[in-house]
Amino acid sequence: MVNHDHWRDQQLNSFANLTGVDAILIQEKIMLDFVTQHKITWKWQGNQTKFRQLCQQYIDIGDADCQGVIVFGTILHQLSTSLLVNKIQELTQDFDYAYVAINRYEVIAHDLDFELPDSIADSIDLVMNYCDPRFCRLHKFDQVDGNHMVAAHPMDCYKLCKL
Amino acid sequence: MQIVDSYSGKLGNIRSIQQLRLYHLSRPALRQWRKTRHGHIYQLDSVDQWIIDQGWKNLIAVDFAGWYFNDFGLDAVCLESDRLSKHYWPNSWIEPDIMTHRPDYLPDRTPVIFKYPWFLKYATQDQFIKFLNIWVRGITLINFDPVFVQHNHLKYNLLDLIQPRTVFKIQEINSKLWMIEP
Repeated sequence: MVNHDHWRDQQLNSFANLTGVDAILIQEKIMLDFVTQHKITWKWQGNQTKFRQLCQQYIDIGDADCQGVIVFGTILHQLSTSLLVNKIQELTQDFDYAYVAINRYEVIAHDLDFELPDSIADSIDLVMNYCDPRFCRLHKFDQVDGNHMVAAHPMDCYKLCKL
Repeated sequence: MQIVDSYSGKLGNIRSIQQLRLYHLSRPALRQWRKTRHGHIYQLDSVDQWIIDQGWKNLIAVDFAGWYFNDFGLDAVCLESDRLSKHYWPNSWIEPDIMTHRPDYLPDRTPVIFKYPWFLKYATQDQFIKFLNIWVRGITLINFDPVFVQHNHLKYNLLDLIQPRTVFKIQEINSKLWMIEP
């Protein structure tokens, strides 16, 4: 079992050409671009990596009086589509804004009462739309990078703005 | 702020310690084999046992440090993608482009075993089929997680998508073990 908190930082440290502690993955940059647009307090429901520490330089992360929530990583571990929907609805219901990133390989079965489209990306879009029609995909990766980074931070990223 | 958009692209080299870590991660049997050098007994897993039960006299072990099969009465030719293997098994053949290159010196009829084909993780279906077309000349055994070959795993079985696109006979021994024959 991979320790995702450790894995992400270890992978980034493995690049000989990366120098600083401020190196981030492109999908993390997409998240940062979204969350920094909103000057609110965010609740962190993601993995506890160095990326969290870096985000604290740019956004307010707290436990109380939060208007936004950031969800990704092991909190969405090995779920069917119905469990995924329940989990995301539960995690985002009390917030005006949400960032949710899904690891497509952590969604292991489809048990909702509708048929999925042929592509996995379209299928995840449909499931997220079922969670809340206001979810919008932030970025689409046609081909995932082949080594390890999918687990470090998921590549199917969505934003939710209720206001 | 430095942005990483590819694991193996323009960022260049991976540190040697990480290279070593990845080498061992993709060859989980190696640690156990090393212990046999100090008197431990090698514990075969279900895939190893299945292979031995076939009664083959020899096999080609591709990129999983499969030289331990020699301790079980098989003649294993070992193909490896990383030169590190030479430290453990000097007779290894080093072939860095295993996914897209089947060396001519390999016999067609000897069973070929891919026990931990790391290069199939996140491969597209086209890449997977190309890989089969390159490698399948005789019995070919692939132990892998089909979910990680890119397809809609929530809707389809990979085998149902691949079989109509190939001329090979594909037998699913279990959910992660495929035996493919011409």
